[in-house]
Amino acid sequence: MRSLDRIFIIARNTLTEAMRQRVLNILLLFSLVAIASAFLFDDLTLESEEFKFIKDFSLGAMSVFGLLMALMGTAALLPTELENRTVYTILAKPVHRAEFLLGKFLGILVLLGVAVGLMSLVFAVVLFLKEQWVLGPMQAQLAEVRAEAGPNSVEVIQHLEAQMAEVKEVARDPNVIQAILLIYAKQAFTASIAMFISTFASSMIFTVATTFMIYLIGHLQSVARDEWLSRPDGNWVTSIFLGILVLIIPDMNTYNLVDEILAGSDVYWSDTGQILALTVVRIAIFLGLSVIIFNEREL
Amino acid sequence: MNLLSRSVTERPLPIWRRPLIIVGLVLGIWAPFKVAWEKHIDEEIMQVRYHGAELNRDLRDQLSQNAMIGLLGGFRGVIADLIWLAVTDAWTEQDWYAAEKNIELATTLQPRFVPFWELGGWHLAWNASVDARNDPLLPDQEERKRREQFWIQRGKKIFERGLEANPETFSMYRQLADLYDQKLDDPAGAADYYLLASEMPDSPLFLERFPAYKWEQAGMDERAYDHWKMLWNRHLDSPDERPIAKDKIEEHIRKLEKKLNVPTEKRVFPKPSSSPSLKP
Repeated sequence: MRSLDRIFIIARNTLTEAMRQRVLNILLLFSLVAIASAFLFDDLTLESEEFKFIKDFSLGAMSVFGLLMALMGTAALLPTELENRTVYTILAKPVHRAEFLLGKFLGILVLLGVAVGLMSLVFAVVLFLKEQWVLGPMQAQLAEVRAEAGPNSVEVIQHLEAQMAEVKEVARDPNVIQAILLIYAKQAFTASIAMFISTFASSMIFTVATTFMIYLIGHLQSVARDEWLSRPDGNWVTSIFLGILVLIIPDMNTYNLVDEILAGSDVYWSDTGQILALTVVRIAIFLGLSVIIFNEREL
Repeated sequence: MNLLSRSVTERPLPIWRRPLIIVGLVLGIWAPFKVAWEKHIDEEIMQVRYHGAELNRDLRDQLSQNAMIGLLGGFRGVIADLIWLAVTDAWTEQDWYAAEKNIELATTLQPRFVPFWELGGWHLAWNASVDARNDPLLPDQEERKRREQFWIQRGKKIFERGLEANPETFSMYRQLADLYDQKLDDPAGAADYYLLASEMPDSPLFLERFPAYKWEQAGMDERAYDHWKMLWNRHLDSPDERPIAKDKIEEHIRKLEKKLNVPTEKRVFPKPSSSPSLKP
């Protein structure tokens, strides 16, 4: 059996086990309900506001619940295997520890992919329903104005058509795909950090808490970096502290491009591609380090 | 757990093969690339955000602790939305200073979301100004007018900052044009902004006629006539008449040719019911 086959089998097994976990299912269910409830944003002045709120809220829910799933799902992987002693059975077979770890991580990636896919589907349905909801009265008004053919009807018709085009443009913004990809990348990277920590952690809670701290500090890292780079002659204690923070903790703000996409900025695929490339390198490094530590770990 | 050495039954690993050392080495080699790459991406995001505020002290002072945590958690959009809901609340309660503060905050967080600027300026220049004009608590008419102008100018400032952050969209030019037209009673100023708005690639077609309407209103008939003629020539060969509204363009050209006594040979429509002369 080839190495890749072994990795895929472990991944499939991990996915099946993860899908049976009640916590993850409940998280997924909550996320779907949260996204569906974004449809309730209907009391704002402009349609573009409502669509922005729906997108922000839905993708925010996707981020939060995805983060929780990545954290809980990954942190539980190794402790569960150790607790159930299944890891001994698996590693007694001709399965390398690296294959075991990679298979586990791949399973989590697929799980997160399925979850993000489901959430995206609900999100797309919400956007479609909202679009129809908004366009309905506009179409009726347009038909009315066309039938009346008053002195200013040309301007009114053009204004309405422009509004309808704007609604369609906002509702069907293809850039949202980039935002969803970035959210997925952030979750995958968080999972890789959790995987790295779980290779030497003594408990699941330690993994969850430490990864979450790194996630939070990662959002402050850019502030620390700017301070560190702009004041090379500052207090040496502060400099060392900031330096360690900047060099070790990943900058999670790199994924904040999502906000700019949702705010309607022109974001190119090259920008998103660069962040995805950084994510791949980051994940590769953290997985590599996980393998190094797990190889030497006494089980 | 033992990161530094293997079990006692095995020979200890040489120091350069110990996991902790390898982890440190990998992270150390990766660190400079990481910092440079992350900094580059951050700068690009700031560029996309244009005049977006950094996480500075002013912003920290204005945001609540919860909002700050949300911002740190990567939920800038959601925080901006929640602040915007506070703008809507302030509007319904007619607390215009609170509305202005939150408009500033929301637009600072997401300067590229044009509706924040559009609605923010509208709240101040239209709603707050009308409220001040009708405020029975103000001592006299003069004070009411002064307060009305105060809010119009605050709204104008929001539009101008919005234009600075979003110079490539027609909307901010149009908002300023509407403000000059409806609030500052300056149709010539409005015409200039309508012209700029109509030149933007995302502008709806009907806006191209607005500068001419406003120049006519300002008594600048010759400029309006030139604009109408330019529109007529632009759409001369266009098969689709409805969105262009050729009938309206023709109507205004005929009216102005008569009013300005344009010599027959220079007219687009030499006779009352004649066909147009091409490209005069």
